[in-house]
Amino acid sequence: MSLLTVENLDVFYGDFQAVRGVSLAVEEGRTVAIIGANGAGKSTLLNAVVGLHGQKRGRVRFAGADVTFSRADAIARAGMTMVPEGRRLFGTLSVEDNLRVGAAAGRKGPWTLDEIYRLFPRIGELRHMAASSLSGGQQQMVAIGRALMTNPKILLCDEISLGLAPKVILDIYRCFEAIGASGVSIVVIEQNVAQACAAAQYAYCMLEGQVGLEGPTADLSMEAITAAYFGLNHA
Amino acid sequence: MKGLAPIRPTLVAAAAVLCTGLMIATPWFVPEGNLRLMIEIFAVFAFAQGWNFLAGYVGIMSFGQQLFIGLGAYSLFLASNWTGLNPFLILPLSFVFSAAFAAAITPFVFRLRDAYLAISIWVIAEVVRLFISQRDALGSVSGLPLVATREMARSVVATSTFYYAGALAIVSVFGLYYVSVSRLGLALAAVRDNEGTASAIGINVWWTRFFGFVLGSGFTGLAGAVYYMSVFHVEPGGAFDPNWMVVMLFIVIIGGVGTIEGPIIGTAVYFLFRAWFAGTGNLYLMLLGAAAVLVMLISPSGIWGIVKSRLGIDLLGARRASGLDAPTKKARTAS
Amino acid sequence: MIWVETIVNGLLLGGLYALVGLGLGFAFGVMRIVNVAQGDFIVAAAFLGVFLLPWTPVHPLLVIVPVAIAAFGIGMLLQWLLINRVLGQDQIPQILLTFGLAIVLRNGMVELFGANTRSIDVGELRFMGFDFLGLKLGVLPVLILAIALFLFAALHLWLRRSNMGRLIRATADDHRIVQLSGVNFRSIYAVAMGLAMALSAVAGILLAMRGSFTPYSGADRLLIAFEVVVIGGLGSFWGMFLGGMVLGVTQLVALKLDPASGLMYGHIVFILILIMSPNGLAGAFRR
Repeated sequence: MSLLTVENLDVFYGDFQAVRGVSLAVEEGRTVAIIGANGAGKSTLLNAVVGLHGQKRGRVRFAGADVTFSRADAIARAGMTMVPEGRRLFGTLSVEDNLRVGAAAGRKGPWTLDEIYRLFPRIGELRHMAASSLSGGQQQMVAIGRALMTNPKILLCDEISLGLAPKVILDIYRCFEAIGASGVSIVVIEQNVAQACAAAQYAYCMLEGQVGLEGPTADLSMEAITAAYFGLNHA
Repeated sequence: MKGLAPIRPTLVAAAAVLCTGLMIATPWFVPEGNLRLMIEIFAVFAFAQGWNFLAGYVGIMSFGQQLFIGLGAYSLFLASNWTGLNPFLILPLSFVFSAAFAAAITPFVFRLRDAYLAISIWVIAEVVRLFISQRDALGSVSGLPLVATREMARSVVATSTFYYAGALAIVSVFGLYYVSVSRLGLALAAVRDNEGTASAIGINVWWTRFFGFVLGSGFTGLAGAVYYMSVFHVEPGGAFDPNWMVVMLFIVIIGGVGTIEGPIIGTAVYFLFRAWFAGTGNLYLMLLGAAAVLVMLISPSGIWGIVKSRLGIDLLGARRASGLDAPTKKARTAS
Repeated sequence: MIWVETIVNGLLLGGLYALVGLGLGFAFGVMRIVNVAQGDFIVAAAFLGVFLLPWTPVHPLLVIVPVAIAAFGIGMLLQWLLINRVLGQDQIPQILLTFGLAIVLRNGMVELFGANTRSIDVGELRFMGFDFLGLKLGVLPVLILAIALFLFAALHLWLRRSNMGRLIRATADDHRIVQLSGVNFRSIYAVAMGLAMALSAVAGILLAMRGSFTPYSGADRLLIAFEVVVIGGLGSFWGMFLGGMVLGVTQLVALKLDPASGLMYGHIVFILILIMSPNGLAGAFRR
């Protein structure tokens, strides 16, 4: 059985439906990509899955339990957390305090302060700085570290390469191999198709709130993805 | 009741004419003692509607509207006593004075938001109350009589005051309706719902809020003058009493913030409460407070909100939806 | 010399006023919630103090401890049972709810205890004084300032150093995102409201020891708390202390010049500061 399954999920903002009947599955220890253009409903989908967005219909199952309408904090304690879009660090707290907040989930596991600093040596050097004073790339590392500190079974990453320099993006994605190797399942949301497909074994392509294309990244042709990304087969 | 929408303006206008006619006829049928009670009801309704206009339509919560009740009353009493002019003729002065005072304090109270704005107006009301309490020229703690009305026949005073109070009540309903569908009303709704969007479509947020606040406060001042004219005497402890705020809040919360119909229900409930629990002193105030807490927990849109969602009735159709709408957080059953 | 003494006494009173504001300011800083009933809770704490006084061992001052603990519990319950249910983008429901609560509380106290003026009797401590550089100062006011300073410093350190303090700061920064770390922000809010109430309760007891109170004192207490917070610059920690000092000195100097003025000049100074520096004194210094 899959670690995370989403069945026929609809998500609403008032009268507006942002996600339409999306189903997906993530196996233990795998990396899955959800790609799509701006406004395709990817972030809304993730927010609904982790319990931050309440207006929804359908079913979300995580580790054998129905968590569709569970609170976000309960879901995090059960082992599913998210690196939010735009990092959203606690700006007045130091880097280390941000990471320690992650430990509040109270889950035992491989990820400790020392492990995070080993993964991202640079933020270890900056650990007493205010989080808001860091550069975008460093903040992204802290955000990932904070999420890892909950020792999740699955980590959802919302647009982590947005607004970062190519070199920094490469560094961050390199770390994902180490994270994946520790047994954590990963879902990445990306507008950057090549980046996402390189990191993931399986990909879903979203357009206007629906999944238009899915498959193992090895089997998906660039043409098919481009068509699904821009909705060319509708034309 | 959507079928009502096209002919609604005509119906509203007809209702306004009908109510005005009824109001004019009332003193011929109703004994003087009852007129007095009706004056009080209409004035208190106007206080509540003034606060409702600010909280539900302008988006400014104030805990200091007793300031304008007092200012309206004092400006009328002082002007009439000093000049000897007939208070019924110079009544509009209390609107002008209260509005001007509101305009004068906006530049700095508008620097604060939400509860802080609300309480800062209360602080100003306290300062004015303490100031008047210490000035003999202003009657100090014991207050002022309205000299001019002493020489008039009581029935003339009662009837004239009743007409003013009736006009206040009619304006509280129909005036609010016409303001809410006017350009100013639409601008106010836009500002209240989202200041960023409002300024993006070319509305001057600050001035819109300013006009709303000055208009609402001036109206409260006018109603305060009418109320105290009917009791012939004003003193700072009563006119600037924060318990006025309790009454206004109770009526608006119970009835439904941001609706025209809600405070009508709220006023009725308030006066019934008062009649039933008269003589129980503080128990009756406790009940008002507890009712307000309960409404906030059960149905933040008040009694009118419940009536409307259960029965689908919308008489005036001028409700400005606000954050107090019944929450629809989860769309488990949405289609 | 009499003026120096007045100003020093104003500063001593100001420390207590700062403490009156601390609970309100802390709750606002963490939750953006303004508990309009705070003033009436302060008075309720004083009543509780009056009734626990006969059972207080060693010294009457120690009555602070049980009252603060009770206030903490009541604050948590208040948040859990009432305020957490009306949280949302719109602040109006929270404010109106606590306003309703204030009315219930105030009139309930009148009903139960009558409208008499009372105070908490601390025995001879109230009349003890000492000379300091030629100034005659009361022991109790100095002690109260020390307690206020201690509580400010203790809260400050606790927020910086403790685990719970860190979670409170994180929740204050972003209560939505903190959930992703498995933190139920509603529980954090309950703790924060408990603390705010405990701090307010201490202030209420101390006010009742220094002066007196009636069930109607809540409105004045709330206005003082509110002015301290706004003068201090909305959520600035030591700014609030400064705000308390300004109000304390203003009030005592004004009472010397115009004995009937009560809180009027404090209110006027508040309005003047608002006109000159909308971000409070802390804001003016930061610029």
